[in-house]
Amino acid sequence: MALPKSHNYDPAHVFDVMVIGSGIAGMAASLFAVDRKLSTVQAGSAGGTLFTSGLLDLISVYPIEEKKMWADPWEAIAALRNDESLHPYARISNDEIQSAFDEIISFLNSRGMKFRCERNRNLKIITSMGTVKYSYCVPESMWHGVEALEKRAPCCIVDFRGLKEFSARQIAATLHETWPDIRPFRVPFPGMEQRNEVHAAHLARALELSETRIALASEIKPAIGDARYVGFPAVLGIRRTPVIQAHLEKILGLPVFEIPMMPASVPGFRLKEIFDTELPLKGLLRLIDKRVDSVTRAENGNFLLNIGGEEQPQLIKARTVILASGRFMGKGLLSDRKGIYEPLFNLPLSQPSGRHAWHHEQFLNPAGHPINSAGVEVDDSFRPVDGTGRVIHENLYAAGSILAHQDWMRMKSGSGVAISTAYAAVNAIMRVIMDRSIRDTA
Amino acid sequence: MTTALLGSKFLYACLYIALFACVCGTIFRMARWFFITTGPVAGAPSPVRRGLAVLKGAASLLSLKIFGFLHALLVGIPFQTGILRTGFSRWAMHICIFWGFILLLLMHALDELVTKKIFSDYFSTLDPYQFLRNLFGVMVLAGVCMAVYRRIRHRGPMLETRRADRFAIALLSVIIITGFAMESAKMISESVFNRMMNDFFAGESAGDEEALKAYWSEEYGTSFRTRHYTVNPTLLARGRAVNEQSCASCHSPARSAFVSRPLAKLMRPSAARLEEAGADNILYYIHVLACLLGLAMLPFTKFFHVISDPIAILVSSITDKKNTGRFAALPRRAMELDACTSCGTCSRHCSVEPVYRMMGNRHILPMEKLRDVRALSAKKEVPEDIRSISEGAFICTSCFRCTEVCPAGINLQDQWNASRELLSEKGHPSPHEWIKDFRASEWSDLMLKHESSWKEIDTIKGKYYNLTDDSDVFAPCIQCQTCTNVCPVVAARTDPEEAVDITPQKIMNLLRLGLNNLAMGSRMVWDCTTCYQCQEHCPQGIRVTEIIYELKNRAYDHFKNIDRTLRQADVHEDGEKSRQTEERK
Amino acid sequence: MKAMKFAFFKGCKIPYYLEQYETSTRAVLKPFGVRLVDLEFNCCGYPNRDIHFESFVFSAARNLAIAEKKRLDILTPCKCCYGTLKYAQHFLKENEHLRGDINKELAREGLAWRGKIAVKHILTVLCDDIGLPAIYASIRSPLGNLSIAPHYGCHALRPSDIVHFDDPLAPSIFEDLISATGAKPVEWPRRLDCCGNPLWVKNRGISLSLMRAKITDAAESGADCLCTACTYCQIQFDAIQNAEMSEDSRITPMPSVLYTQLLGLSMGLPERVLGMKRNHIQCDKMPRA
Ligand code: SF4
Ligand code: SF4
Ligand code: SF4
Ligand code: SF4
Repeated sequence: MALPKSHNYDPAHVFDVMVIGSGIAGMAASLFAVDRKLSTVQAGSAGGTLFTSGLLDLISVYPIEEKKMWADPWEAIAALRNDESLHPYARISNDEIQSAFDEIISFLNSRGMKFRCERNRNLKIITSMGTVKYSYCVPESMWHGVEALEKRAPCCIVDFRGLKEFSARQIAATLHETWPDIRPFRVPFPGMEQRNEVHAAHLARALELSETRIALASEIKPAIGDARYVGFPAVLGIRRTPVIQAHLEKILGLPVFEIPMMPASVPGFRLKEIFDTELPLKGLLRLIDKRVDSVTRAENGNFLLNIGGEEQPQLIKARTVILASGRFMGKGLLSDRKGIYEPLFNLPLSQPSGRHAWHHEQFLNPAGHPINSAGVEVDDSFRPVDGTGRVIHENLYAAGSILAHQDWMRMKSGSGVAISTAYAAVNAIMRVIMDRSIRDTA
Repeated sequence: MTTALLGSKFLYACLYIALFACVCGTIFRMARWFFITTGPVAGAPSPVRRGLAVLKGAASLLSLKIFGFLHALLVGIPFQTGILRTGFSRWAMHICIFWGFILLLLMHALDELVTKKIFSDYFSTLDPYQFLRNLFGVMVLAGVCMAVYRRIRHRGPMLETRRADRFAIALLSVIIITGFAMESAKMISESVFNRMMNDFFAGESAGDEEALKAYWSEEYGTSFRTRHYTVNPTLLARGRAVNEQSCASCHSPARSAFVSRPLAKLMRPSAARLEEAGADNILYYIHVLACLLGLAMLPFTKFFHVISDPIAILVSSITDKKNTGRFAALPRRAMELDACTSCGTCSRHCSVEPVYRMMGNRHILPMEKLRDVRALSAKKEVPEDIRSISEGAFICTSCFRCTEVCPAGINLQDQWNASRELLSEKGHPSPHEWIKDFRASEWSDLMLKHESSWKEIDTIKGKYYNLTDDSDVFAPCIQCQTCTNVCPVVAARTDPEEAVDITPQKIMNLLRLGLNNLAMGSRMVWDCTTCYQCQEHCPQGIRVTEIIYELKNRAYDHFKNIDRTLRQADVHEDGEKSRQTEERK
Repeated sequence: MKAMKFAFFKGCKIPYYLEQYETSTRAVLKPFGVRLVDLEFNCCGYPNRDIHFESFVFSAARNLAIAEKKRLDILTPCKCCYGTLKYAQHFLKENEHLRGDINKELAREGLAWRGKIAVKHILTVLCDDIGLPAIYASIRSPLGNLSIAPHYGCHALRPSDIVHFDDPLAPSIFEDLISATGAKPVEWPRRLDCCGNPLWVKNRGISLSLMRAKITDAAESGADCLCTACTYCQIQFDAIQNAEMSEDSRITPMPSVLYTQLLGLSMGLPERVLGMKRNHIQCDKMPRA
């Protein structure tokens, strides 16, 4: 009861933290903040965390130009620091990064979405394209896939008629050289036999019912043969994945695993469900689908954030703000003819000198494009700074992909940057609050 | 004696003719109840079946239901509680007409048969009968005046005055007014006086006659052409005495005829001319003939409701509103069509009356719906405005409220269920059904061919909102599929016909491509369960469900006037096929 | 406790299809001093929204104006009515042109929409206006042993920025209220999904398959019974399930009770007002009233 309801809060309340953004960085920042008993409010679109594959990457490619793959992420980070890169990882210690992961993972584990990682190495996992990629931390539901790949064990990969984004045959063909013993098998999805297009999320929800699983298993059984593993596209339920996986393993008599798909994927839905339902229970005030329109600052430095639009202003008061609004897709950054800008605080950005410099000449340049590293520059506390290194607002922080000097997509470091910078930002806020309260009590 | 009743062979013959017409007409009307089929024609049971079902229904009286029946019979009908519930003024009006007329009928028209049998001292010119006759007449007249006032005051679709109502009001007025006028005319008539004198008065002493005349002239208003006396108190006193002695046993004082007496006074100046014209006789003929006309036409005018309404009320007292028997419902519905008095109560209380006010289709109102039911059951051919009728029929929440308020006890809800089935059978089902007649692409082609049927609409569309034509609304869509992923309807589609694979996200895409026409007829739009999952979850904040609603609105407006009898083959510009269809026709 | 007074918006279906909802609602509210006033409302407007936007708004606006004339907030036990009245309120507030035209029509019968009254759902009134402590205090025979799957219903919950009912992704009001009765709220994946009723006359196949998925899910999640707080959801899960799915051997019938019945039962109210026997599918584990 004491929990804040999203449409029913005290407008006079001054929040410790307002998180702007609902992607992984925003969610992680909110989690860390409520875990530290900070009164926290979060605004952002409804679907932020949907756009992940469910893998939590730390880093596996560096430098981008060389496309060098690292089996040990920490070595990659060391190399990056060694090059005096301005990458956010250069501002956080390994311990901090690891603790950030630990905190997130233990939260997700406790809410039924288990993850596995091996601390000092990246895991190898196959993707829906049939390629092999490194990731630091994989959902438990994909773990047997890591095993199977390692052992090159005989494996049956199932796909579903009408599921456009996933082809077992393509996976088998791509992997043929290195892993010959893959048998693709296409089945109609039980209850959707008539359809020529099916959607992963719907399959996942259907599999939450045991009758669907039983029907599916009986379709697959004849094709198993000598396979030791059965792989599925990542559709084993949005909730209760462990139960579904265990049930399928029981009736099939074999370990089964999920293969990650392109976002918006089912594991993305799982993450979203957990964050959406569990964070409010921890005391987060979540303003769904609210965008912050404008910000002003009170005399005491507190932020006043308008989430109600121009006509009916609705103000949120917050002592600090963590800006985790992402880059272009999250609308954290916008662009016009003159260049790119940050619309809310109008922060100075590190960006290419003009529009012509956004991209290299070749579109598919392996080094990526300068625009991919544009963003907000920060100090060691993750507070945005201007070109001279001066902090803009002492109580404004930034986290996640909005940060400059990192190309998460090509470095395969999206979740890692999001989680660890959110962690660092929240901890910086904590330090300030602790300092202040020590000062106050002294 | 009956001859005396009417005083003329001619009227006497008329009476029998009228009675005969009334009885035959009534039998005819009632028999029709077993032959008219309202509701779906296919599989309609035979008249005998229906008859048996009715008997079986009547047999159910031998149960506790009898109490409900008796209540309706002894309270509901006499006190018209059904009307009372709809409003006091209407009840007062109706109770005046109803009881005024019934009592006039029993006490006055049928005095020989009824009143005399009960009250041996009955004499029409004696009190209380004279007084009561005036009173009852006034009741009817007051009721009629109220009715006219109400019909003018509340005129409109809820209370429409048609020929049948005018006729009924006019006839009633004629009967009562001529009745009063006749009484007055008799009062002032010298010849009537003289006749009575000759028949009943044997003057004992000279001057009695003068005195009596003076007294009558004063008291009853009788107008004597020639006067051989001068009025003075002594004469009047004598006159009163004579009157006491000879007349009072049959004539109460005129004051109790509180309408006729003042009326007589008014008429007195023209008494001579009236006398000459034999006004009292003429009025008498008009009065009686009007009554007989009413009697003869009873089965074919609004007056039939005096028979059908009590039946309807009694039937409704012993039947379940929700579970109507399959066979017995048919004659009941047919009977109810005759019981509706077009009082408009149902329309005034209808839950979707506000919809009528916005859409302007009168077939939405239950009173009109019932008329439509009648029209549909009577005619073989399809009425011209069948599409409006169907639109109206399906705009109804099945709330039972009209059934609840109908003072005639008509089970309107059952009528609606049946008529919707019939309309579906005739190829005019609910929008969600007929939209399935064609595929989205066919609708879109049809629209091109029938531009005229919707061009007008386009000029007013988007009066308040224009989501589907405003690219600001849907352009931010990033085609992320979230809406599709959370849509339970997409997930639940099993029928291959339905699985034409248009999803919410694809609808957004169609809008971006300007293919609104294609989106409008898609299964997705019409199968949307309005759960708002898509809208709630869209990361771009797009009002997906509201867009779908608007598409439905537009589709409905655009498609509803397109002739759907064209089969699929005609949709395409395929000369050969359309020629074949021509031939088939 | 201060007396509360609301205009009671029954909607079109309760009087003839779900009388027990009205009697049980009145009965559970009475001890809390809530007075329900009957006004002659019309259809909320929902059924016509598919084909004609203006008539939907006008229907709703007329209801709002009728209550406003009496200066009463509206209480409705139906989530579809609730949602529809809220949506209309939103459109009227947002769109001046629409508001003008609607008010012009309302003025013909001396009504006006000014947006001065609130529309509340029974669950909100119970949880917020009366408050959980009072509810807890009113419980006479707690319903231990019962696992209840709350069905949230679409139109009260979404779109959240219009209806303002509860957190659309993580609502808790229903679970809180069920816990108060002593029963155990069940966590089930499909709790926020559509019951399928809006499609009942429009596409029966889909309507039933939505319902079937929910019923199966509730059963697998260990629910003894569904709980609804909406006329249409209850009709779907009770009358329609009973009529349509009894032949489907794949599912055992899943009973469904109205929240007011559940609460009434734990408050020790009699069967006469709760009408448990009027429900088509009986829940064996439910204690007798
Ligand atoms: S159906 Fe009943 S309420 Fe409606 S007009 Fe006819 S008699 Fe009156
Ligand atoms: S049942 Fe239909 S016609 Fe009758 S009052 Fe209700 S909405 Fe109107
Ligand atoms: S969820 Fe929104 S943005 Fe995504 S496809 Fe649907 S409408 Fe477009
Ligand atoms: S509102 Fe309609 S389109 Fe949107 S999710 Fe629900 S059923 Fe699908």
